[in-house]
Amino acid sequence: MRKRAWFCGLVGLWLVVGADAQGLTDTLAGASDDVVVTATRTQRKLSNVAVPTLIIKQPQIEASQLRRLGELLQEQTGIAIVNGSGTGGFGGGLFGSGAQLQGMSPDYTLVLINGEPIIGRQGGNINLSRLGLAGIKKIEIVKGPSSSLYGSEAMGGVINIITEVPQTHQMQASVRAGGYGLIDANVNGTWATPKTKLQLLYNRYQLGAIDNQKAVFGNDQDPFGSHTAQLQLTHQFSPKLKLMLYGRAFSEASNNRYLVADTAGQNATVGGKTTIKDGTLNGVLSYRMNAKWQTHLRLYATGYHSNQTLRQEKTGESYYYDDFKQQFYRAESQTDVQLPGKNTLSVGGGFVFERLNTNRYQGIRTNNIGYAFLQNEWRPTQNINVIAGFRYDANQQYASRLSPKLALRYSPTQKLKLTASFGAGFKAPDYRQLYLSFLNNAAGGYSLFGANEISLPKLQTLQQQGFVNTILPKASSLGLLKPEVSRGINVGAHWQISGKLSAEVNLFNNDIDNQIIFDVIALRPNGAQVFSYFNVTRSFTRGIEGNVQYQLGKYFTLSGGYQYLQTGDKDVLQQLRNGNMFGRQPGTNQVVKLSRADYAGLPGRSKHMANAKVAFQKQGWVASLRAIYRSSWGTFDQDGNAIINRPDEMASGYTTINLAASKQVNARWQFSAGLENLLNYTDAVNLPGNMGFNAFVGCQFQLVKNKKP
Amino acid sequence: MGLLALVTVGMVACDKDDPAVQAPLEVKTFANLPGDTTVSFSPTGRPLGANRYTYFSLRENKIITGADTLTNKWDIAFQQFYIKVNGGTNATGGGNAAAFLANNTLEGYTVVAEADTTFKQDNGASFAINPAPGGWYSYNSSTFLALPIPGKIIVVRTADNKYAKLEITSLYKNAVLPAASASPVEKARLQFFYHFRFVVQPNGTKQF
Repeated sequence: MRKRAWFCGLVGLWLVVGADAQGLTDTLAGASDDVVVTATRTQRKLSNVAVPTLIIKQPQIEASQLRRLGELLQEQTGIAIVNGSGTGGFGGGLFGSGAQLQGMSPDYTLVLINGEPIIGRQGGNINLSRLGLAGIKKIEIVKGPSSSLYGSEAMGGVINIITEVPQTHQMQASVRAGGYGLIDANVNGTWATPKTKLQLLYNRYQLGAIDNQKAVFGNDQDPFGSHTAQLQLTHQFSPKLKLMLYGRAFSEASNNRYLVADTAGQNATVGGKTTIKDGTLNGVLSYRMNAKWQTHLRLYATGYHSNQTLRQEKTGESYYYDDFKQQFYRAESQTDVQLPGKNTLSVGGGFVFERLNTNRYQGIRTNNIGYAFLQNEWRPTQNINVIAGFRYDANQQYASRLSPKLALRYSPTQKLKLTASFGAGFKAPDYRQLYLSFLNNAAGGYSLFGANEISLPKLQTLQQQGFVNTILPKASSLGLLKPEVSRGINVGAHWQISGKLSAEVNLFNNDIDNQIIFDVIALRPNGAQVFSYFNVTRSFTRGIEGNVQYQLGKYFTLSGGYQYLQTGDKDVLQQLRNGNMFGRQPGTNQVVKLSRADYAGLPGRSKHMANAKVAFQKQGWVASLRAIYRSSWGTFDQDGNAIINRPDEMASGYTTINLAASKQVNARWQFSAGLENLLNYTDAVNLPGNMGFNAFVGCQFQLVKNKKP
Repeated sequence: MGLLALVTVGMVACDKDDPAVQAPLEVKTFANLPGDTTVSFSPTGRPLGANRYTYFSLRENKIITGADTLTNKWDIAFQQFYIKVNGGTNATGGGNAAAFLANNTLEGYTVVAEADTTFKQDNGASFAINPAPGGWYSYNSSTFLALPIPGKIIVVRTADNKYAKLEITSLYKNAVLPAASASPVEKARLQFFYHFRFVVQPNGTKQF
């Protein structure tokens, strides 16, 4: 009750205040005009940023004619769209797929809208199909750990979606239809005065069934449709005071049908519905006291609700019911101050209240997190800057964490930038690792407890009650779970070779420790195991990423990118060195000792990823041709050693080619068309959501009242 | 350790004082031993067996049934992921069998160099062979497939105090792994058909 009153107060306060993520702009001259906010939480020119950063701007998004965030990210260098860690059990579009950055699982990618985190991770994943591309100004992607600024989950990188602040009075409507029953419709209204800017957006997206595996009952991906409404309001009260409000409401539904076993062991069909809803309100109030001092107050409330209800179609009996509600409230303040000695200090802190109500765990769970961060940027000369910072996150449910960061930039000439950075990342234990309490009382059934649900004394009580027979030595190490942590190093260079040609390269290494897996802690009287979670495994990802861009003549832009990646589980490597890792040869089933060369690294990682793009722009024509390549990747173990070591444990590499074009015929009408997956590559088992060859057409109508208010 | 094993082998060979090369011990195989195969499903779809062990004699390479399961005629028994030996308080045959899990290939394991205390029996919830995943088998919760871990062999002291080594090669009917796309029902129905290769040293020594 107290909490609710507190929160109402917070909402009230935030309706009065609110703002954007802009901080003090740097005065340094840069070769590029692009401004990036995600890398330092202050506005910085991209050319001055010391960590690997990618900006995808609105014109690029429009030229690709893509509609969902996942589709767009898939075409960027070094980003793979893959499933999260926990894909077992029922999927059907509920878990979806997320972004893998620098070979780090999507569990470790933080996704933000205007600097605020999107919640509703399922199986470790933020399902990227929840996010459309309408009304976006740009997407900033910072690779490598950024927990020193963003806290939990920012281990592999941060994807920050920044919404458009309108500059005109405008009404826009667009619709697109394509293969696989695709319908994408947008209505977008904007209203802008010098002081107040308002945008309202509605999107409808729907996609039919994807079933590339006709012989198998059910769809590879069930049909689904979503509604998204978005509101953005900015108001400049005075030159010093600015407010930004952002709201979002999202709803997705899909119809599911599966084949399962009934109680008699016969195949039976199960049908039902999955719904996902999220809602967000975000307010930022920015106060610029003077040229050297600026403060932001940010208030954020978001909720996520998913439900899956499945019934046996023949009998009508309930087969599966899952309901998951999550709420996340945050208040945060950040102050940026320019100090003497060419320093810019950013200091801030905040408080998070999280609430979880789901039938998966017993009762309602809450967590309070408090955090503080400090970052200093020192610019001794025009061509050097040094950023040092840390963040401390404290909470009740798992161990606290300090995340440091150090980043350097040196520009020996205007055209060359060299960067090096070190950062720490962490990911808090997820809900199932903390709260799961799964008791299977069926004969021979096992039990699985979240780390906060079981302890040695509790086990001893269970032993006295006769539920547990033997407590294993592992149980003595039960305790508070530690966050999964990473240390990342990035070393890179950006070279503006000429006005038309630029190239960049970045080497990265990420070491991940304390990864959470489950292990047996006790045995029940019938010998069944009792499991809980521990910080055990260690792994690494490392590689090199390169990008080249070239302006060919007046109308064409050519670009290409490549990433080479190595990954591995360090304990597996140790076993390989010790000669304790064996495999079975395909066909003969003969057991052989494995060597390092047999080990293909962590599953879901492609050694090579590349893309090549041609963009064309002339007299209202915008077109793009994009080829994306991903080499083979590990899927699942076939020979029992739990590692990827055989060709039949790999999915084949593939290339996708997409073509899109649009023509602005007059001030009001634009027409577009495109062909996707020209090579018609499908893999129903490993890429169930991938559509085969398909085509689309679309049109857009707009009414613009004034070009520049 | 390897050196010690070699030395031991050398000494034993000398002790035997038998210049003739011994015929290598036969590697026997057994296929499709039903280790409590799926007969029904729980309301949530979990496959259930009949809660019954299948008893096996390594010496005779055959399944032991009926009243013989209460004698020391059997050495090892299988029920889903549980493997028990005819020794310890859980044993129904009153034998002195024992076992442990070793990291090696069947061919690579040539002598029982481990101390006698390494051999364990089944007492209450304490099993000689840990029935948890990650012990002798791995279970993939995405594909619902169970696989014996390659390089894990069960070293057995039989109920009549001979030594044997055993490698489980498959848990599926006819040793064919169900397709990843097969339904969980199909997978469960083909599960717990034990296939294994084994060697028994009938002369009571620890060499294979």
